[in-house]
Amino acid sequence: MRGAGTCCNAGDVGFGLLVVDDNRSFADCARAHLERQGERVLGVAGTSAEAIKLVAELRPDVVLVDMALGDECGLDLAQLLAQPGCAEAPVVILISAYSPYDVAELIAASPAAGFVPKSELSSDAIRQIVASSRRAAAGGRLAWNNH
Amino acid sequence: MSVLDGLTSAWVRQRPIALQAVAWLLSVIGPALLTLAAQPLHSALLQGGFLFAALLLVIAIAVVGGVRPALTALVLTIVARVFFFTPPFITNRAAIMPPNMISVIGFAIAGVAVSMLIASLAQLAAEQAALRRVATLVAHSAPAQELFTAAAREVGQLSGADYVGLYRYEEDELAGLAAWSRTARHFPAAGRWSAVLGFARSLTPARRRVQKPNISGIHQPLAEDARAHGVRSAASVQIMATGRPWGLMLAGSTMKWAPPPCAERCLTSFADLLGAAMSGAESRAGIARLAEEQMALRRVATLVARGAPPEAVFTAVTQETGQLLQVQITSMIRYESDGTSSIVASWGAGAGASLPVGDREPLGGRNLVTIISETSSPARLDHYDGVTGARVERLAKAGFHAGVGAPIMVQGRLWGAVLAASIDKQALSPDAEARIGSFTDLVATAVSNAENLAELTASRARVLAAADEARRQIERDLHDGAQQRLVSLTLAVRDAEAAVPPASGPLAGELASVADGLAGVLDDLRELARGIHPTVLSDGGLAPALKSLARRSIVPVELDVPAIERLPEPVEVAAYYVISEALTNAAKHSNASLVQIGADVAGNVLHLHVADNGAGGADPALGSGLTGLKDRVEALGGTIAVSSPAGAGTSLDADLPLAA
Repeated sequence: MRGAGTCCNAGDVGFGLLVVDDNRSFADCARAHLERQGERVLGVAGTSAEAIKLVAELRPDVVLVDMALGDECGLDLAQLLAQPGCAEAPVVILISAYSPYDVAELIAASPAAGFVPKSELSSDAIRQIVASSRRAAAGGRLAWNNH
Repeated sequence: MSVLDGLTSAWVRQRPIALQAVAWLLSVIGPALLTLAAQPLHSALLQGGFLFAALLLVIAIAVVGGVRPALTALVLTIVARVFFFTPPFITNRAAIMPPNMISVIGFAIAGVAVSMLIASLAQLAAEQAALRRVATLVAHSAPAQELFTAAAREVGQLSGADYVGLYRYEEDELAGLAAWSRTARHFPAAGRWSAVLGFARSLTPARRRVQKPNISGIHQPLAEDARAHGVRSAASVQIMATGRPWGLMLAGSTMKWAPPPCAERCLTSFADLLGAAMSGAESRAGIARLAEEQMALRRVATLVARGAPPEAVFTAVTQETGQLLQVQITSMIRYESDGTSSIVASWGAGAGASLPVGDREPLGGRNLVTIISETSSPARLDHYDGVTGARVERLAKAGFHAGVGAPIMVQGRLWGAVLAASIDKQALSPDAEARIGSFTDLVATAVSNAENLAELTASRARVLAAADEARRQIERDLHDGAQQRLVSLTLAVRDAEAAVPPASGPLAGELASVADGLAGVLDDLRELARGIHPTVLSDGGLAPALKSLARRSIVPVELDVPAIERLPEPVEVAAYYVISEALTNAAKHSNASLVQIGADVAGNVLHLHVADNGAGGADPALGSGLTGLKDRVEALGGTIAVSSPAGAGTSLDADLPLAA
């Protein structure tokens, strides 16, 4: 298993992914879909607690969090996982069956790195968000250093 | 009228002093002149003429001065006649007429009869005139005092009494109303005498004849007072009004005086007249009281009908009953479930013990609140001796004597009571309970209405909440079910599309179009779900939901929504729909270029404000869309107001309480 910090020349080896979704059939479908596209799906969690446990165990690079986690709220989990400024934190990406149009305000208010509609879930979409998130993080650090 | 009656009438009726003087003068001078004039005449014919002239003289004197001078003149004439027309004064023997005595006797009888007849007719006429004068006062609704004074004066002048007093029974007292006195020295009438208990009521109508003639027959204390003022004999008669003893008229004399029948007649006639007048006055007062009560009831009923808050009705009822019953303090209490009673309204006339609203006291002890709670019936305490309970003891200490109360029954169960307490122990009329009772029925209606309204509002809120919950569930089911499966299918089709070998002809393209079609279905479904229930609201709360509304609005929106915590779901949903509908209306009708939206929580109220810069002039009755919102807002106990002056834009303000 690879450490979180030592990633990943994009393209060669896929990210370590964790899918958090209470809908098992979609989670399986997403796993197959992403693995087909060359990503490594390390695990699937159905609840917030399971997700937190697996994040600690598997140390994924990216966590895909469903916004509607059954009775729990995916946004709260995203908040918890995306500790800002912590280099070891995984990149949190929100996913949802809703269109971004419907949940734009919720995404904007979340510290998650980005949002991908479930119907448009793909390796490319994930990589794009991770890349921009890293740029932003670097910029943030730079800005912090300048301070 | 008997001859004797006429005779005594003549004795009592008072005539002007000048007339009396003239009559007495005539009664002496007249016979003398007649005798002198007849002296030289000796013929029988002329003697007959003399008697006739003398009779005319007696009649004239009777008309002017009554019986006494007329009889005096008669006697003098006869004496002179007998004396001067018989020897030795008459020397002319031929002038002596033996049968003469017969005509003299006839003359005497005729003179007495005529003068008495005239005197009694005059007395009767005087009585009738006096009665008419007083009756005229009654007919003209003259002030009571004027009527009493006139009656006493007329009776005094007609009956020959030295003193006439008019008194009224007031419970166990006799109150002086008016007095007349022949002399300047007034027997006191404007006083109060404690009547011998039961005296007034012991007099049956049959016994309401004049009390003869010594004054011990009348009220003992009054009689003693009268004696002390020199009254030695008196007659009294009871005044009956509406079949009950109302008062007393007393005629007294400083001499041993046997009231003649005409004096009795006089007293009874005037007592009857006054009784009738007082009956009329009492029934008029009764009608006025009834009218007053009806007006008070109508005022309260109007309040109830207008749906005024129960507190306003309570206050009005305590005030109206207090004023109607002429008591000093009234209160309304509610029986609480914890075995106490609490004051929900109170009213007090001027200073005195006050009953603070909200005051609670456990039931028990001897007091009206407890009695009514046990019987569910009206109750009264005619005296506050031996009462127990903090409130009533406080009242008793403050000088209150008596109390009355009636229960408020709401839909068959005892809800509370209206109570009145009086300082004057006589002030509580026998029908006080009934009069309070007509108000408690109104209170019951008001309470029942308010309870029904509260239940209706609550049930409206429940219906709306249930509907909202159902919509939320449908939206969620769509999301968790169909949408998820469509999403999975889309991904699977895209996988299949990616797995198609490049040389497979149109298959990849067909799969791609299937995936696009699925995405289209998903979009349609999302649109549908959004209309059923906005997920952003249930997941993110009001602030992001309003931002979402603003973003999607056709008319540009200026949003002023500070960080609002999550609010109770019904409030969030109602607020969302209010703003959403306002935005839709602005886009459809106002032609506005900007809509300002504000939402803020102050205290325990969410205030919403939507204003556009459009044409205004919107239907103030709120369009059908806004009527539903009004229902929604009012179900939560909130208010909504729309102002839309033509040309000045439309603004909407709504207040939603956060806790029902």
